[in-house]
Formats: sequence, structure tokens, C-alpha cells
Amino acid sequence: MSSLVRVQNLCKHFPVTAGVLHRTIGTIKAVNDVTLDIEKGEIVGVVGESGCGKSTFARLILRLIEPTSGRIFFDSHDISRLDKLQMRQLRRKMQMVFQDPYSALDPRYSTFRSLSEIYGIQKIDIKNNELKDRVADLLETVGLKPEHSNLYPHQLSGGQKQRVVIARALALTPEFVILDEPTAALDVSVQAQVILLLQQLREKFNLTYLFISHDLALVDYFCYRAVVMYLGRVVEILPADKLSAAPRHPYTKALADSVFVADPAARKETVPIEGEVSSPFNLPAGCVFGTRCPHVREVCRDTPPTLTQIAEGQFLACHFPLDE
Amino acid sequence: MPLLQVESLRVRFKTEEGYVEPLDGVSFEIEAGEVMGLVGETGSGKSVTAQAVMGLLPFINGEVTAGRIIFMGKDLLSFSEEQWQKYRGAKLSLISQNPMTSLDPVYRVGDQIVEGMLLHLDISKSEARPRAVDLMASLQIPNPERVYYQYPHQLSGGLKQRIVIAMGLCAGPRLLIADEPTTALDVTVQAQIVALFKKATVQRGIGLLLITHDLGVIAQICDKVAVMYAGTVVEFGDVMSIFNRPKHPYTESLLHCIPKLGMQKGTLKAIPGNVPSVQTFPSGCRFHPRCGDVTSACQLQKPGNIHLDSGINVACLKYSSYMKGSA
Amino acid sequence: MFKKREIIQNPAVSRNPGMIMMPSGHRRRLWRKFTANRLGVIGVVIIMVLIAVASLANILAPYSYKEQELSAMYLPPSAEHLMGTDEFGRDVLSRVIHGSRISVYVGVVSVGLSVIIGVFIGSIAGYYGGWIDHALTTIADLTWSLPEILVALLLVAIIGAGVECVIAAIGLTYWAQYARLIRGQILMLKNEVYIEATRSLGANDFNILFKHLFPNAIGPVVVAATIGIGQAIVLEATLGFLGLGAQPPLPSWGAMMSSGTAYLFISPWVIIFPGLAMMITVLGFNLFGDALVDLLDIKDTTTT
Repeated sequence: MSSLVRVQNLCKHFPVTAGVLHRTIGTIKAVNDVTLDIEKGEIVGVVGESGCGKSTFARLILRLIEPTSGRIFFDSHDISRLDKLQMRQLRRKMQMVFQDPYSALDPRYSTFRSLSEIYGIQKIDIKNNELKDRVADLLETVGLKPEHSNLYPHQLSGGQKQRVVIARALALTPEFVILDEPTAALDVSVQAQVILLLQQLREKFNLTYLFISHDLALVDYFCYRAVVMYLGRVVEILPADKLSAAPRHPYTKALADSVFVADPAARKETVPIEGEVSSPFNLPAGCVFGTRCPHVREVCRDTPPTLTQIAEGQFLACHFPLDE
Repeated sequence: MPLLQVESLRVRFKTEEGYVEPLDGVSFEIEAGEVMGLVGETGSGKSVTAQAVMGLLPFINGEVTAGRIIFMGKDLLSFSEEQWQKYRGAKLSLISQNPMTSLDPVYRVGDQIVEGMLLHLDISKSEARPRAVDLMASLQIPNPERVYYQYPHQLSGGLKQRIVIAMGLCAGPRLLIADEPTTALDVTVQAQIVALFKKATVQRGIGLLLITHDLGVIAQICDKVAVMYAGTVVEFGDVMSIFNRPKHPYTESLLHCIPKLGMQKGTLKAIPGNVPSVQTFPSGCRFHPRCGDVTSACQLQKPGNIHLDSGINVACLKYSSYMKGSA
Repeated sequence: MFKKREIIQNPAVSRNPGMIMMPSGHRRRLWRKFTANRLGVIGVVIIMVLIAVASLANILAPYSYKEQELSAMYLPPSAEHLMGTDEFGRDVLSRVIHGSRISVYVGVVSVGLSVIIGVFIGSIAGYYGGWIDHALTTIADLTWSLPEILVALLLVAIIGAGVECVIAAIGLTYWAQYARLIRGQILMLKNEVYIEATRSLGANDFNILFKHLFPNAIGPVVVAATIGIGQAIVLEATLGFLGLGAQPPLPSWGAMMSSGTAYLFISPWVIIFPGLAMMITVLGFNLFGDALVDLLDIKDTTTT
């Protein structure tokens, strides 16, 4: 296995209970049988709408949430069963940048403290002077100034906060970084800055990214490949530039068609798809997209399609894929 | 005559540390049957503009210090609160950002629409109910008779947003203001709601002021666009010109920093610097610290509204030689 | 790792290691904010006076608090006895002064006890949730519904009446309110993104609870505890009034008021002065507690 990160048949089921005795009346299959390989140096995007499970998926890989079943491999080692101490070691190599910079930093911690804390947590022995240098280094790497180390989160702008969150993730030079909607809470003009910064950092430190987003255009621009999820399942994995040009799953196409382009000449005449994402509670038997698919047929309602490889790095789960 | 005319609006708020001026130099017009987009990032003052047009500023320690707001020929700034209550909801209506908080969780959704009708229309409850159901049907709510009797928490995001739109339209206003109506929705649902807005505007011949930060939505349904930055309308004109031949440096930079499906890698260009907060607005032209075309005059002089031949209004010193009309 | 580069460092950062942790501007701002709140300042002044009086009681009190002078019973306030004398001819002023020691002792120790028990139980309940939370909350609810007077009576039977009895009674019943407070805060905060982020850095439960959840959650508990000291003092007075608290001749304010009721209309000063002392003390703690609410809010943008 040459991939840096591999997940195999990963599942996370949340039981739903009711009544005083907490009887289980059903399950929410937030992540349902997901298999994915991420190569070293890749940027893989995960897109989907609400309830698709992308955020849960991100947290499962880092074992911030424990999987119900399935395996996770990092650098060919099975990390699904590691104990807490071993996981802590592993966290030096796998980090996460969170969505909301406004709540991702402890409001009572100065920037310096937020950035230096990780050395204490990881029990890394480091002298005070060297620590200050490291923090100043980190700040400069993400485009901030040493003065910012004295400031508290509420004194920083959204973009600056997010840079601190990125700096914190890079403090121990990880190999793999999961970015969970890192720009969703930021202004558009600041988003571009952060995206460019992330690209620079990837090249400089040879990082591998898993990029979670609901913004298809952003995934198209930033990522090499895109994983499209719907109600806990992966429906398609394809090169990012094929998202709009040649999607083969009806949902991918509907998603791409729903995105409004910032060009009045490219107005869409019709609404690509009706209805909304159904509840992930007690899913129907067949394909998860069956209730909304414009091409749905009998077999789609009975049998869920399996994710099969159709080209190098490209996968599809559909009984009647769209033509190329 | 335009349905709504806003001219050189200036607004200030009283805070613990004195006054702040979130708006300075906001001008635009909307005709009936037209969709006008108000686009800008945080701190641009888009929501404050909506609140000013709805006469809601006094409730939040705000006041208009200069400019005019003319709606259907009437000077809104001269209205008493009594006059406002006859107009709000009935002649002009505001739909807020988050449908979750616009709906009262303890009342059925149908009743909330009816409540709006009873406030402004001279009809009885039994007459209002079928009208509400019809309105819901026109907004493509499936099974409106059933949905009428449901509570907000039983509805999906898209349905809730349609109910909120129904509440905005229930008394038949001539102008609808929608503040970020699709930000909280899934992409596929957003496409449906945006199409709905366009249809409702055209069918009813009303004016729609659509406030958003999403340029894609603007491109999709707007006829005219006002681009706002730090409390000023920096550019205003028809949507084609604004997108294809942007005049203001901010508009141009904004269009280049948005990722588009299918765009070439490496062509994303960031705007340096941060969006200023209302307490730290720069002197002179508020965009000058981040502008690629900045000159020494830009820091000293705040550009007025310049009316170009092409019909575009732009607030930038680059065009001061074209200066014909007043600010 | 990171290559050393020429970095023009902020002089303040490299010269004063201690300053990095808490910028001086922040402390100064806190002080300014505090002094701006006049009521809070009054509260602190009262508390400081109380502590001063309690510590220096032996020096300040003109007479002994227990020496009786039966020829001088029920003397009204005069130059010799500023607050008059009680039924045993004891100087009321001296007894009020010494009474402050009991009040401070009971107030601080009983609240300290309740806070320690309450915060410990509440944190575990809030952080771990599930059946632990269920069990602990039920216990807290049951405890809270116990009337402290009954508990005190029970304790009197076991350990005898006295100050310790009052402290134990308060400690055993009032911890529930602090438990609830911190549990609520932790429930709210444990889902915050920065907690998750710290966990992803590799932090364990201990780290998260003590370094992140506590500092952010403890605010309301501190405020409640401050006001709780006032509560405890009143409670001591109540129990003292019933004869369950400090035993004679100890001059607990409550006991003083109790023994003075017989001659309420003839020599009211025996009740009025300890009553006033208690009122002012409780007021002081309440004002301070209110001021603390603002001070502890780190996000308060009016100070940046």
C-alpha cells in the first residue's frame, strides 16, 4: 500500500433512543461503508450537503469520534485500535484545521499560549527561548507578525484567527492535515488569502490534505480529486476538474449544476433538482439518492450500488451512470 | 419613477464610545419588477441599509444623518412610527437571514402567515386561511393544506425558508427585501429558492432587494447590482456591465478572488489586507489601503458618486474626470 | 524543522519572558474597568473593612466580648458603650466586632467546602455525561431539596451544636448549586470547537478539564460563591437565632439577635447593631459578586 491514509469500510452509526428505558428505535448511519485511499502529497476534497457525513468522516480518521466498524490505516499501519498513548504520538503526524475560527481557539488563551500549548501536551521538552522562537517562526510562516502573539482571539480578525488555527496545526510539522471547511466562516476576499496560504504551505512542507467543503467551486480549484458524499455514502470519486465537465453520478451533476457561476451570461434556465436531502434516520433499502434521482429505476430502490473503480483513482456507485 | 430611491444615505449609531458611521454614501434605485442585488462582505453595511429602508434604525440606536429614501413617491425619512406600522409588512417587507429564528416555534406555520395578513388586510380569519394556502402553493410548498398545520421544527430548511418568504409576501407588499435568504441552505435547495424569488418578483411585478455576499446568486437573478464596501456603494449599475466590465478596483478584485467551477488553477488572486471594521474605517476612500490603483489623493479625499455615460455609478477617484453630476 | 531565520522580533517579546503570558495592557484594563464600577468598589471596600475588623478584633474591641458586668445591663448607646450593652452588661460593639470573626470564618469555610464538593461532582457529571451524570444530578437534586435547618438539627444530634455544625450543614446542602452551575457551563463548553481542537492535539481528559474547561466555566461559580458567602452568613445567623450555631458566650450575630428579642422594644440596640452589621456585610458581598460578572467576561469589547 503506497497510500498515506487509507480508510476501509468505515462506518459510524449513531443509535437513536426513545423512552425512559432508552430503547433503540433506529440508527443514523452518518458514515456508511466508506473506502478511500489518499496518496502522499495529494489534495483530496470531500463535498456534500447537510447530512452527507463529511464532517463526521473527517473526525473518524483522526479518531476524535470512534468508528462503529471499519479500519483506518496511516502509512500502512492500522491505527483503528491504537490506545490513547499511541494515538497521542500519532497526532504529531495528523492534524486538523477546524471550520469556525471564532470558536476554534480558547478565548482565554493568548495566541502565544494557543500555539505553545501543543508542546506541553505532547510532552516535548523545550526551553523558553526556543519556544518563543518557534512561535515567532510559526506566526511568520502563516503571514502574521510577532506582535500578534500577545493578542487574544477576540482582538483578531476572522482571517487572522484562522491563520493562528493553521499555525497551531503545523506546530509539530505533521504529514497529513484535515481541513474542515477552513474558509466557510470567512469573507470571500479573506478566503482567497487563506487558500493561497494553504497552497504555499503544502508545497513548502510537503503536506497531504483532506479538504472538506460544501463549496464545489473551491474544491474544483484547490483539490486534485473530489469525493462526493450523500447521506453517509460515497457516490463518486473523480478528478476535481471533472466535477463540472464530466460528472458521471446524477447527484454530482445535480450538485455541479446547482452552483451559480459569477457570470450573468451563464444563467441557468431550470432548477437542476427538486426536493431536499432526506433524513439520515432509517434510510431506505436501495440507493441513498433514489428518492431524488431523475433517472431512478426499480433496481435502484431495491439494491444499493457498490462503489467500483472505473479508472485510476476514479470510483462510481451507480446502477445507471451518466455518459461521459 | 423608480419604486425605491436611496440617495447619499448616511447613518450613524450611538455606542458606548461615541458614534460610529456604518453607512456613508449609499445610493441606488430599484424599479418595479426588478431584482436588485446588494453585495458586500462583512462590515459593508448591507444589513444596516435594509434596516434603514425599513425604518428600523431607531430601535437599534441608529439614525439617518443625511440623504433621502423615497419609496413609491413618499419620503420615508419623514415617517412617524405610526405611519411606519402601516407600511411595514404591507407595502414593504423584510425577510431576515436565518429562517430558524424568524419563525415562532410555538405556533403553527400557517397561523403565522395568517397573522401577517390579519394585521394589514381587511379580511377575516376564515378568508385569510385559504389565501395563505394559495400563497404557500404558489411558492411550491407541496401539500400546503397539511404543511399549514405543522410547527417550524417539523419542517426542513428549504420549507421553512419558503414559509418565511410567504410571511413576507402575505400582505402584498410592493417591495421585498431579502437579507441573505439562502446562506444557511444546501446548494441544491439554494438553487430552488433563488429561482422562486425570481418567479415571485416577475409574477407580482414587485421590486426585490436581494442582499447577499454570493456573487453567483447575484449573477443568476439580478438585473442591477450595488457593490458595497465599508459602508459605501462603490459601484452600481446593470448586472452585465458590473460583471463584464467592472469599473471600481474593489469590484474587479472581488470578481478575481472567487473560485469558479472550471477555472484555471493559479488564477485566484487575493485582495491583500483585511476588511475594516466600522471602528477602523480608513480615511479618504475606504478601500485605499487594499487598492492596486491607489494614489496619494485617495487617502485624503473620499470619492463621491460619479455617474458614467454607460449608466454606471462608481465611487472612485480614477473617474473624477468624468464627473458630471453631484455626489 | 523550522529553519532559523532573521526575524525582527518585537523587543517586548524577547526581553520579558513573563510578559508574554499576560500582556500588561490587559491587567491595566481590568483595573480600570473595575474601578469604573462604583458599586463594585463599595462592595470591595466593605469586604476589606470586614476582613480588617475580623483580623484586628482583639485590638479594635474596647472591651472583652464575654466579660459580664451585671450592673451595666441594657445600657443604651453612650460615649462609653458606643453600641450600648446587652442583657449581661457586655459591650455590644465589642461583641459585634468579635462576631465578625465568626461570620468570616463560617462564610469562607462553608462556601469553600461547598464549592470544592460541588465543582468536583458537577465537573464529572458534566464532562462524562451518561449514567454518571444521571446519578450525580439525582443526588444533587435530592441534596438541594433538604432543608438546611433539618440537616443542622440532625448534625447537632451527632456532633453537637456550634460553629462546626453550621459549617457542615451548609457545606452538605449547598454544594448542589455549585455543582449545577459548573455542570451547566461544562455541558455548554465541552462541545466548543476549541475543546475538540485541543483533543486533536493529543490532550487527555485531565488536560482538557483543568486547562481549558475549568478556566472558562468557573466564572459563574466564582460569582455565585461570592454571593454565597453572604448567604452563608445569613444562614449562620438564622441557625444561631435558633440556638444551633455558635454557643454562648461566642458573639455570633445571629445569637446576639436571638437573645435580644425579649427586650426588643425596650432595648432595640441589642438587635439593631448586629443586624445592621450583617446587612452591610451581605450587601458588600453581593455588590462585589455583581461586579465580578463584568470583570470575568474576557470577550468584553468595551475594554479593547
